[in-house]
Amino acid sequence: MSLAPPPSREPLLAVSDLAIDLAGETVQRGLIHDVSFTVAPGESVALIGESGCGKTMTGMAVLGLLPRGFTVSSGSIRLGGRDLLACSERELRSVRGRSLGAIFQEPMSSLDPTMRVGDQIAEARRLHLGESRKVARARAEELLDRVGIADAARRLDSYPHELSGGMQQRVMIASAIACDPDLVLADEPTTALDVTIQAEILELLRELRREQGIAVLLVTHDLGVVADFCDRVVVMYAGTVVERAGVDELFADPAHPYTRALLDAVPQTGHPRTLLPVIQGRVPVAGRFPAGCRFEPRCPHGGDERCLAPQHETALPGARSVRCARAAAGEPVTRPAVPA
Amino acid sequence: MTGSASIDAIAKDQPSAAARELRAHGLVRTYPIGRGAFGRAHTAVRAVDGVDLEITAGVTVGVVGESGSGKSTLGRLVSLLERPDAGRIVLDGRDTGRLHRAELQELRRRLQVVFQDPFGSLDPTKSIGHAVAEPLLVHRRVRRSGMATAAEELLTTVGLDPGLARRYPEQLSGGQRQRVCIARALALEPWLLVADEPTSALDLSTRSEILNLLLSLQQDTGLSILLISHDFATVQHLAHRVAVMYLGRIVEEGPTHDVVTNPQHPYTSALLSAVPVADPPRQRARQRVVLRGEAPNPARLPSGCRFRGRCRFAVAECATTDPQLTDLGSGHRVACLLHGAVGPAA
Repeated sequence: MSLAPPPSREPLLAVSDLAIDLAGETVQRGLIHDVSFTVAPGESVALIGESGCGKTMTGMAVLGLLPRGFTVSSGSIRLGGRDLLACSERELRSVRGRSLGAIFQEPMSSLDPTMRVGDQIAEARRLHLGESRKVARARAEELLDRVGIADAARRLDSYPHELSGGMQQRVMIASAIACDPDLVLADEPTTALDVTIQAEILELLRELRREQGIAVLLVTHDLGVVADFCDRVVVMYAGTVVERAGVDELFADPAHPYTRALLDAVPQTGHPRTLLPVIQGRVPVAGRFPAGCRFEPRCPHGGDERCLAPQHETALPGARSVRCARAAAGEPVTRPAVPA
Repeated sequence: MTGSASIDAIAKDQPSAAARELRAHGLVRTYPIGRGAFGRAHTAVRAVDGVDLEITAGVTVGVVGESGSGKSTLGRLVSLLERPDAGRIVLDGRDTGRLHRAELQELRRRLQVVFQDPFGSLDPTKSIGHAVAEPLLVHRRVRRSGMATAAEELLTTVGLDPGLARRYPEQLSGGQRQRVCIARALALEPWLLVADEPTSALDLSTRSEILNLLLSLQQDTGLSILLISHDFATVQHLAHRVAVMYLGRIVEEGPTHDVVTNPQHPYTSALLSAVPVADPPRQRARQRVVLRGEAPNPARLPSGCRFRGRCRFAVAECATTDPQLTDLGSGHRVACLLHGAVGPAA
């Protein structure tokens, strides 16, 4: 069963030609470069790639929470037709609370350890919706119940440290959806959890999508989670988007050599104790990207003349795109080498 | 004396393949929790509660389980880093509980440990070469002058550029650091490597490199590996045998393929069904076995089977009988009164 909405709908989130620079002694340009993707209402889109490829940075830019020194130098981020980059800090705070929720990997570092969980959830509603203490508290109880916390009325008065990791993550989801947002950004929301708890959290997010039409932008490195939960995938490498595709198409027929290599790095159940293909080398350090294709030094097809020029995104049939001159020309992508 | 000569010397007094064997019987490890005003413990948690384990030459044994299952405690007991409260560990025919410190120290080099966090496991003030060859120095296998050569050899063994010996941990990537930790663990030529979540802190692409390294080392040197992990995919790829732990006990154990394709314990089925497969159509078609509720407080375990509160097959007898591991044939063992009633995970 696919939850994908018809593609004709207006995107809820539209990130276009996003570029992020780091100001310092010397400005580092293009840490994030030419990043474009959309998320439709109710859709679930994955942002994948190795560490250091810019997934989290892109998510932070959407939230308007880039760390000090990082600036958006071009492009636009529109949520529900509103240009987030043109918003004042005050307006952004209101967007973050109301239309945009966020869930991070470590619930304990996002929840206030000195505040009862009921107050943390109610605070959002009092602040953004102007509800009274009493109304907001009643709604917080409903929310805790909604995210599957047993005995919600009593749990309102718990402190975060009194809850298990899975329960803390549920509280964080309750606070992210407190004001009925249109989009939730979930950055590795299940990475710190056990697999049985991960499955429950993903099931909860699925229900929220189905019943409340909440869209999810999921930052993850777990391809199993992507296969389980997402409609479409955005693959990032070294600060750029190298491929965009529907989840079935991406896994069945990856267009970019990097996507191919990522998929092949997952151990296959039918072939235990065999050597796995590896991607040679490492993600280049931000600011030291190759002038041409950023993946060229690690690519099994590297060395082609076309790879030495900067690569552009090319649309492929079926609402896909790829940033690779070879793939755009329809040339096959071979698997990365298995070490001898 | 050069580094390489000394390493050869160690190889000579390695126990023969026949002696390479670790047997653990009835291991129990208890931790006190909740201290009162006078520091006396109120209650105790049995992190490992009666576990038998056997590891032989050239074999990888995987231990899977969720947080609180006791898998890491089991790893520390087997590594001789902690002593069990009950039970014994016989390593190469010698009962480790009856040995003096010096004898234990000598025996200990036959097994070495690699931990999850390659960042916390290396001293940031020591060069990579020093980190790798230090065990040789401590065990007087090389002199200081031979360390550089020994370090370079070890780095080559794990597929690293010997030139890295002069670098420091912060100059290395996570994957390189984990290789350094493995190189250091191999310095004393152990026959058994205990690896506790060796790839959990690593990226997908780096993970496959470390898995390849462990496979190659085993192929080339006949190394045995005790692989402790919450990641079923990793264990499935590397392990010949797998043990599934739940609240301090092994609930199912056997050849990896048998356990994965034909799980007999309801907990194993639930655990396997919760691991998403990286294949969208197949993943959508799978049925997840949902566990009821949360794991019970390990300090207040239920009577009988400790899984029964979450088990959809539980019957009255489960409350009174604590199931023991029973062999179903072909070395596949399960601790469940209803074994055979559970089909394979969809």
